[in-house]
This record gives sequence, structure tokens and C-alpha cells, in this order.
Amino acid sequence: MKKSVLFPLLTCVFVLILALLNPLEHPHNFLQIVPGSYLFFALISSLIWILVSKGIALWILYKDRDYYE
Amino acid sequence: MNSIIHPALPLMIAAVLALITKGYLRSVLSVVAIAFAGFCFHTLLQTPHTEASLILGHSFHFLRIDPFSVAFIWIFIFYTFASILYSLKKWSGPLQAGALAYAGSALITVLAGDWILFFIGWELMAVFSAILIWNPKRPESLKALYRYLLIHVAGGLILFTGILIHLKSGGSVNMGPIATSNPAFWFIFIGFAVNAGLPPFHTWVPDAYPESTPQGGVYLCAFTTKVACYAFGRSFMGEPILLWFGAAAAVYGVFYALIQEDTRKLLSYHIICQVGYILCGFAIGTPLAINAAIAHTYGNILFKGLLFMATGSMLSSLGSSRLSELMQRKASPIIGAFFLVGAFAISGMPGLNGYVSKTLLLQSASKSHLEWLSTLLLLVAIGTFVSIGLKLFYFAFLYPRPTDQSSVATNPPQSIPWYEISAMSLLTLACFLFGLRPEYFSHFLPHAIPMHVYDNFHIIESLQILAGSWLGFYFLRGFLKPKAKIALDLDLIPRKLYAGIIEPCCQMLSQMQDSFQLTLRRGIQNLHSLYLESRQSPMQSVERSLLVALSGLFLIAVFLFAGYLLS
Repeated sequence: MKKSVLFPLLTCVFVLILALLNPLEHPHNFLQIVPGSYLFFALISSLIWILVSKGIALWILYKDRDYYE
Repeated sequence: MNSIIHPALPLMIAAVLALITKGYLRSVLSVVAIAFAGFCFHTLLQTPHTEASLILGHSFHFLRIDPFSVAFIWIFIFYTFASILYSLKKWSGPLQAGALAYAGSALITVLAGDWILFFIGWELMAVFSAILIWNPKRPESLKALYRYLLIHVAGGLILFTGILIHLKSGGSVNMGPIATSNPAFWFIFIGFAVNAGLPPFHTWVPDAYPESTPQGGVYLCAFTTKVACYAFGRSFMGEPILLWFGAAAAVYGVFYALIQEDTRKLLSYHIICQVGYILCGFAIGTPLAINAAIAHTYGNILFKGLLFMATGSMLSSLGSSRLSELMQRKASPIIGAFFLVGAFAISGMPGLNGYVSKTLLLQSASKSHLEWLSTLLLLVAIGTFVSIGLKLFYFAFLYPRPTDQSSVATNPPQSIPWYEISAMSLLTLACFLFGLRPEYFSHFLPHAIPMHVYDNFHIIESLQILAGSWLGFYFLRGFLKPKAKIALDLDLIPRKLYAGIIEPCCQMLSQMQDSFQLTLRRGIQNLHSLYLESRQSPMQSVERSLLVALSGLFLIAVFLFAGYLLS
């Protein structure tokens, strides 16, 4: 495993432990019910953001810089 | 009688003086002007004053002082000071004058109590901000400037039509809420939406702002869109339609920010995104949401200003704002540090101002049972951190540089001047102060509601968002590697329309004009020769004169018919 992946990975583990130790007493939504779910929500959402935005950009939006000239 | 001075007046006078002064004198005058504007506003708050002034038989409300306008004025004055500091020595007289007049007209607009004055201030802002878009080093900036003026003139006309309809239908001349049943609703809404940069009227923001000078970008990012937010808050508070537009702007802005290669274009899309956040707060309309929206306006001006300053310094120092070029050059670590503070602040890192305002917004959405909105805003926050905090920072500052730095030797980076560092330090300090001690800023907010943002759950929630996004970015960072491309946006439609229809029409009209002029010239020559002939043979000339008169009548009839059809 690369050393550089350790920083984000260890941060996630640390934050997950903190989340498990501090659950919300009166949850309002599905993310607040399960401690640590925000972490996975962010992980999956960031992957989706990157894949969808870049995918659409490569598919249809990206053009050469002189496109309008 | 108490004498009061409008806070915009010192800025307007300094703008005129900036045209005739040079060097340090101009800088000192600008600093004194904004300090005096602050003093005038402070005095105004302490002094009772008349509500309206009678000019040419019309009653103008120059000074509408209430908690809502006061909140905006203080942040505008503070930010103008930071911007003057940032551009202390680098500007020509006209640009400095334009910047001061732009800030002054923003104060006029926010303090305007009636629609007429508001519109005058609104248009003055458009004119003076246009000066800032002009960048002598970039010829393309002139084209962007024309496009900017075109869309703002159109937006201004729509707003003016709305105001006229509102007044004609018996609406109050005092600026206030516009009901959905009001026939002027959509005109005024669209007029505001143009300046706020709400999709689909947003294309001028990423088109014009990146073309400006580094100093121009610093001013531009703060006033026009935020004054439009103020206008929305004043006239459309609690409107459900505003919620949809705000949520769409937030998602749209972050989507386009993720695929940008130009750092200043990326930040411009984030202006649209953050305006979406603010409008969502105004759309919810509860006291907590209004406070959250204004806190986010404060936060947005501070951290977005800091980010524009950092990228502006990078542009001045390295000569480019494109990530694909910045990846080849080594940026200053000082700029990197300031940039990181701004990036963490906009991403909602605990301890910085973005955390406070975003947490308040999420709380207000939850309390109003808008769970979908709080989830959507969380999604946008994740996209924001990925695009600015991770993508932009990683590729501009951390990406491994090539070992061959021959281009650096021929074109070494310029050092960052002390006044730019001072301005960035000031905004950094403000971001931390607002983030760590939000209660200090609660006096500027319109509703006296305690802010409970620092509890274990909310802090850990934010940390989870940031850590999860970081891990996601780590896995797919190769996908986000900048490409030297542009991303098409909705401005494609008017540009294609222009290239496909309007430009050929203009050419055709130009050809018609040329042929018309030629015909006219020949006609005059013929008339002249007819006149000369008539002196020799009177009978023949009568027939010809009749023919000319009939032709003239026919032409008049054609014009009248065309006029009738067009009307």
C-alpha cells in the first residue's frame, strides 16, 4: 500500500471512531441515525461527483480553447 | 439640525480624485475615503435623520436604515478596505476610480429606500463594474466586457420594465416584498437573477470575472452578486420559487467548478454555487435561516475574496491562472497557505467562518422540515471541498513538478508585495475570528438568536464530510487532472445564435446599406442631370418628374406597410 493513501485513510478511521463515540440523541434524518454514515456518504458522493462531472465533460462539454474563435 | 453624509459620498469623491492623483497620494486618498465612509455610516446609525429628501418634486429615500441593510453595508465597507489594501500600488487611475465608484454604488443600492434610487444604484454598479473587467494585458477582456454590458443592459431593462409595471399597477414606490400575484413579479425576479448569476442567466460570471485584472477580480467577486442577494432578500423573502432557483444554482455551480481548468473560472462558478446557498436561506425565510443566509454572505465575501486574492497573486507572480500551466511552475508557499485557509473556510472546516454559516443553514433547513434540502446542501459542500480544497489546491501547489525548470529560469516568479500579503492576512484573520467566535458577529445579524454550532456532533459531522471527500478524491484524483480545454456552458446558445443568425444578418444589412447608399448617390446624380436637362426641354422633364414622384410615393408606402407589420 502506498504511503500517501495512509493519510486520508487514517484520518477517516480516526473520524469514524470519533463519530461512533458521539452519536446524536435525537436524530432528524437517515444520516444521523447511524453514527459514521456521513463519512461513507461523503466518500460515495465525492466519487459520484468526480465520475459524473468528468464523464459528462469528456463526453460532451470539453472543447478546444479556440472553439469560439 | 443634524448633518448626515451618505457613506457612498466619500467613495465617489475619492473616485473622481483618483483620476487626477498619482502614486501614494491616490492610495492614501482611497484608504481615507473608505475609513471616512465607515465613520459616516457609524454616525448615521447614531443620528436620527429624515426618511426622505425632496428632489425635483419627487421624494427620494436615500437612507433606508434597518438591520437587513446595516448587515450588508458593514461587510461591504470592511471588504472595500481589504480590496483597496490589496490593490494599493498596482493600479492606474481609471481602474482605481472605477473600483471606488463601484463600491460606492453598491452602498447606494443597498441603502436605497425606493425603487427609483435602487435602480439608479443598480445601473451605476453595472457601469462601474464594467470598467474593472477591462484588463489592458488581455485583449480578450474587451470581448468579455461587451458581452457583460449586453447582458446587464438587458437585465436592467427587464428590471426597469418590472418596476414600471409595479408602479403602474398601484404598487408602493418604497422597495419591498413583491407578491406572486403582482404582474411585475417575473420581470423583477429575472432582473435580480441576472445580477445574482442564477442559472440560466449566469454565464457572464465565469465569462467576465476571469478576464479582469487580479485586483479587478477581487472587487468584482464581492459586490454585484451579493447586492442581488440583498435585493432578493428584500423583495422575495420566503418565496418557494427562490428555493428551487437557489438549490439549482448551488448544484449547477459546483458541477461546473469541478470540470474547470482555469482557477479563476473555477472560483467564478463557486460564486454561483454560494449565491445558491444564500438564496436558499432567504427562501426558507425563518429568522434562523435569514441569519444563516446573511452569515453566509459575510463568509462568502471573506473566503471568496481571500481565494480571489490568492489566485490573483498567483496570476501576478507566475503569469497564469490555468491549472495545466501552474502544474509546471512552483507557486509561493505563502500564497498556498492563504489559499488553504480560504479553501477550508468555503468547505466548512470547523474553526472557520464557512462552518458556522453552513451549519446554521443546515439547521434552519432541518427545523423547517426540508430534509431534502439539507441533504442536497451537504452534497454541494462535498463537491465544493473536492473542487477547491482538494483539486485546485493539489494541482496548483502539491502536484509533483517536472525536474526540468528551464522555463522558470527564463521567466522567474515575481515576489508577492507586502500589501497583498497584508490584505490576505486581514481576510484570513476575519475568517478565523468569525469561525471561532461567531458571537462577535451576531450583532451584525438582523435577528437576535443564539448560535449553537459548536457541539460534538456537528464538529464530527463536518470532519466526516471532509475526510470522506478526501479519501474519494485520493482514489480518483487522476480523473480530475486538468486538461487544457474549455467546458461549454449555456452561453453556447447566444454565441451560436450570434455566429449563425445575427452576424450574417448584420453583414446582409451592411451590404444593403452599401447598395442603398450607392443607389441614393446615383439617384441624386440622375436628379441633378434631370434638372440640367429640364432647363433645355421642359416637356420631357415633367414626365420624368412625375415618375420620380410616383417612385417616392411607392417607397413611402412600402416603409409604412413594413412599419405597420413590425408594430
